[in-house]
Amino acid sequence: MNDSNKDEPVAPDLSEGESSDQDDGMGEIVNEFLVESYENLDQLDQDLINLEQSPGDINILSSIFRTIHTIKGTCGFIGFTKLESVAHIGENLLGKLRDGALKLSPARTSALLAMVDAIRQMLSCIENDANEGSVDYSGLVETLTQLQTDDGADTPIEPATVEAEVKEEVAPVAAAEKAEEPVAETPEPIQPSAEIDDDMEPIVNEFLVESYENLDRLDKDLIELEQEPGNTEILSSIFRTIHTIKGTCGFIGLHKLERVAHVGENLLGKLRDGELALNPPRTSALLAMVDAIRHMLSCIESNRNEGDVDYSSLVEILGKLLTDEGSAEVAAAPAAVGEKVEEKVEEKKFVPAAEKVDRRQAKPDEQAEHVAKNGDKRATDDRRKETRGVADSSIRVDVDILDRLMNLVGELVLARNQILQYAPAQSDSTFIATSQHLNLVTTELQEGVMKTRMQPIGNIWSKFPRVVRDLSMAVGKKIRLEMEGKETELDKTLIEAIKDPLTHIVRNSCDHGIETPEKRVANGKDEEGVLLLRAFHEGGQVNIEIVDDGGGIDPEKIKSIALSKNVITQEQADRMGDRELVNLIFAAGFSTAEKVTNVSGRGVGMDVVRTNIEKIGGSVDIQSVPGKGTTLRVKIPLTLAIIPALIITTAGERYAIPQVNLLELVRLDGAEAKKSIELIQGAPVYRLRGNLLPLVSLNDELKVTKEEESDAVNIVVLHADERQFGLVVEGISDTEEIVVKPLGKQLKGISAFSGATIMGDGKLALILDVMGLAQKARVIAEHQDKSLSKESASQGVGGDRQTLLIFGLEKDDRIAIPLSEVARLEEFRRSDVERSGDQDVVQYRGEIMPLIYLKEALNTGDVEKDSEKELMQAVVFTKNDRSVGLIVERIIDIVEEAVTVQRGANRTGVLGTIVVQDRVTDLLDVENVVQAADPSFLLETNAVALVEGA
Amino acid sequence: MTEQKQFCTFYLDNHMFGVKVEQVQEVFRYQEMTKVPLAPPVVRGLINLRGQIITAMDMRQRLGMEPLPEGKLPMNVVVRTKDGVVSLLVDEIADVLEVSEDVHERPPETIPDEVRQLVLGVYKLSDKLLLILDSEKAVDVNTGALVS
Repeated sequence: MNDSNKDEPVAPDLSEGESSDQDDGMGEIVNEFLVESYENLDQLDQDLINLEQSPGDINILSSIFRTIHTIKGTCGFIGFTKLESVAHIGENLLGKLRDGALKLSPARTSALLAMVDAIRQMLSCIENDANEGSVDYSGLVETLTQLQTDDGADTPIEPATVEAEVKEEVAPVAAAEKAEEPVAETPEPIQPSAEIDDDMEPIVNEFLVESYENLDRLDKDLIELEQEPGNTEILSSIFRTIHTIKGTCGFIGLHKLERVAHVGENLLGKLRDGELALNPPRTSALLAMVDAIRHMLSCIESNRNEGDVDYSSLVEILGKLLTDEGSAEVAAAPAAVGEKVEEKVEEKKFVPAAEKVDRRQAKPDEQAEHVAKNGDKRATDDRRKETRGVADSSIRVDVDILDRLMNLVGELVLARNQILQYAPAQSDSTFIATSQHLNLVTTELQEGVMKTRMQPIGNIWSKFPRVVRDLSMAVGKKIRLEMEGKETELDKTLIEAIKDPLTHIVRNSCDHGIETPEKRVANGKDEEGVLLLRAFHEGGQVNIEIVDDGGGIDPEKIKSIALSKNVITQEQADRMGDRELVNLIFAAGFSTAEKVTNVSGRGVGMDVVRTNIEKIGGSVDIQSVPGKGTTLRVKIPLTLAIIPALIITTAGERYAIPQVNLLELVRLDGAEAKKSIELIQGAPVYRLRGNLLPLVSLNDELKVTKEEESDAVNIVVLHADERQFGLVVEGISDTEEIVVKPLGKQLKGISAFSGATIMGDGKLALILDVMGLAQKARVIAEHQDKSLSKESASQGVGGDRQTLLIFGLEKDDRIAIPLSEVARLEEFRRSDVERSGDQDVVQYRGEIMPLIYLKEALNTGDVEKDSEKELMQAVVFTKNDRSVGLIVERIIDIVEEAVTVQRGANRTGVLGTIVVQDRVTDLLDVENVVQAADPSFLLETNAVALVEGA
Repeated sequence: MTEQKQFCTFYLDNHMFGVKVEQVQEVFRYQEMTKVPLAPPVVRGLINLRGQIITAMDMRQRLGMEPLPEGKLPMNVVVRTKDGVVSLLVDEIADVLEVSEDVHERPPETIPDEVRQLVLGVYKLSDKLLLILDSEKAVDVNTGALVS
């Protein structure tokens, strides 16, 4: 569906129409035309691309031809001559392609695509200014003409003729009639009685569905028209319907139908131009024509031909009615005419083939009888029912109505919340049951209405084949676009919102991602690159992946560019991991194109993409393997109108925080808070599992004063723009589904709020804009370097993040061991230790587990086995079903850090030195220690496993 | 016969003000408001009007008058503007008056600037003056007194 119908009525201003004027009655028609044409053009783009893949495909060609023809016909009728002439030339070219007179070449495809663009441009001019704009398309027309004659001798139309035709059509009066003449005059060389080609089948079906719809309206329109003969709107509508039917008939090769429609159209044309006035004989004849068309359609539907009824007398009458004299003549002999027309209609009803006309209303037994008679037709009948079913089972609804419905459902959700809050206090069981029921129904209603706003993502993907094709042509690459999960649905507003970011990503992938054919071949890849779009639902979110099999992103290149553009410092760069580096492409002011092309790399790059996606509560992530390709993953919520949120209180007011931004909640009691919140230059930070978390006080940010005095600190850990920060609030209530309401314009400037919502008690709560808040608190901007370096420090060059267990043997030392090597942490009583040979052991889980005193093993000091401490801390290390307990002095912490060995080992049992939490820490070589202490422990089993994990 | 216009009138600091009656959606007594931190001072808060969230603006503040005395609660005149539906907080709501264009005059140059900017004109009633408030400008926080 296109948005244009939502806009203000198009073209109220007629004063400046330079190339064409529209009269007032046309406004609505023009609007409808615009909406329809935009839709058609999107389809057209895709069709043309498909056609290029399979040039012989008659279905695609037909679809294209038909679209252009419809546009052309309508333009001619409304009086958009410039648009019409462009469409006309395109149609001629398409006609030849269809007839096989010409072959599709890239040049032709490009020209046709250019034509589509031209049409789109003119349509947008019409929409905005009510005229076709002042761009001169004669060059395009010429090119299109040229391309029709390239193949020389067998081209039936001379270039001169085409030019002439175009010029002729510029004369507005005759435009409409001229428009369809090419079609009428260039029928396919098919025998009149030709059965419909199998290839045509889908087109014919579509045609039937559409035509039936149109005919129903036609009947109504004609009756109305008789009431008010001067109504141009109705006339136009009728004319258009007949014209569409006629055009399609001509194309499919239904010449009998076409002829009837054609004379009818001529008559209508004259009526419309005011040359003739509508009188009862004319109305009757037109109605008879509608009946005739309907009859033929039903024949086509069931028998795949137009039936054998002869309509020449109807044609004759319609022809006669074209002149006033003829009409008078007919009117003079009313009996004759009436009879003839009646007869026609009657006759049809009784002609054997025609009995199907009424079959839809026929009684079941008649139908059964019929089926029995024509058992073999059953399949066709079923199909027809199906087709009709599709036409009947969907309606177009104005987006505004859906929006209003959505709002009302929002209200209902609020009312429901209020009642649910109130219900538990009631003792009336009926009331409680009813409120439960209300709850269920509301939830279902909410889902249902939400569904109506859902659109398949294919709607925006449909333009990508064109984008990719144009791009690959422009940069000389071969790219195949594949799509998976086109039918994945998401909210219409979101669809609109991700359109541009997605387009940008796709363009980027084509421009930077996929290599030139030569390079690909040199790298042993298929010449043709593949760009895969994949969409799917996962965990209440929509995932969209854009995968290319191109050159991938070279972290080193990113690093050097980032350095040259001062995005990061050398020091930071040195400590960044590959993945971190790759994600730098989302940093502001980053463009990796070696040369700036007009395709992408215009400075506004992926940072805008990320901002836009995050604006709608989504996230984007990139993974790249150099030489193999890149995967971009975009995650977005299903809808924005009703979101889950955490309700917090501060300074006596409630605020809602969207759940998408929420990571975790931390509560610190008074003493703990004092101890663990540290200050760096006055900026409070908290160590969250070893990472520094900048803290922001909501009270300070909102400039409100604390109300309740409490020692406990509540930290809401949030993420925005890839950064984490802790928001200090006074109280945390609950999570709730909230309905997002916009704020008035007076409050739009406050970046800390994204909207407001009505709570269960009817009071309001402001929704915090986490992103805006972070920016305001300068978590994102000011602390960026800090957190970057922090992250990169932990990323390190050495490898992935690891979770480390930190423990100590002496007063101040720190030793780390990968948590993955630790089976359990245990405490043993000294009195439980027994001796076995020269080794201390304990009974542990039904086994005898040897103990190793790490102090002893690492030669750091004597073990005070008789120490006053009764409990011993043991780190249990398990290998091959055998366990050993490492006795340590104290367990300090578990942190997640990257293991970057800074200094080699100079002691036995130590792999090296690392920095953890900014402190020098020894990394324990567990296997070494165990083996030194108890050579037998590992000997029995495969020694290869020794190095694992270290 | 001269043109008659209808205005919904209200009082602010003993002055009578009016807005075109077509612009007024409804009037109601004081209702609790949700304060909006960081908002310009003229925005007193948000009101839940049957599920619709509207901004309440203090007209005394807007016109550079003294705040309402402690203990007195303002009333709401809800107007439709191109910036959405907004509630104007006023001292007291008066009648809907029908006035003749005969008694209309441009605002005098001498009245305070922040008032004159927001006043479309003055009607000279028999016992007092009726100042017509430009509600579009009054709700636009980017013009007038607020900037200073």
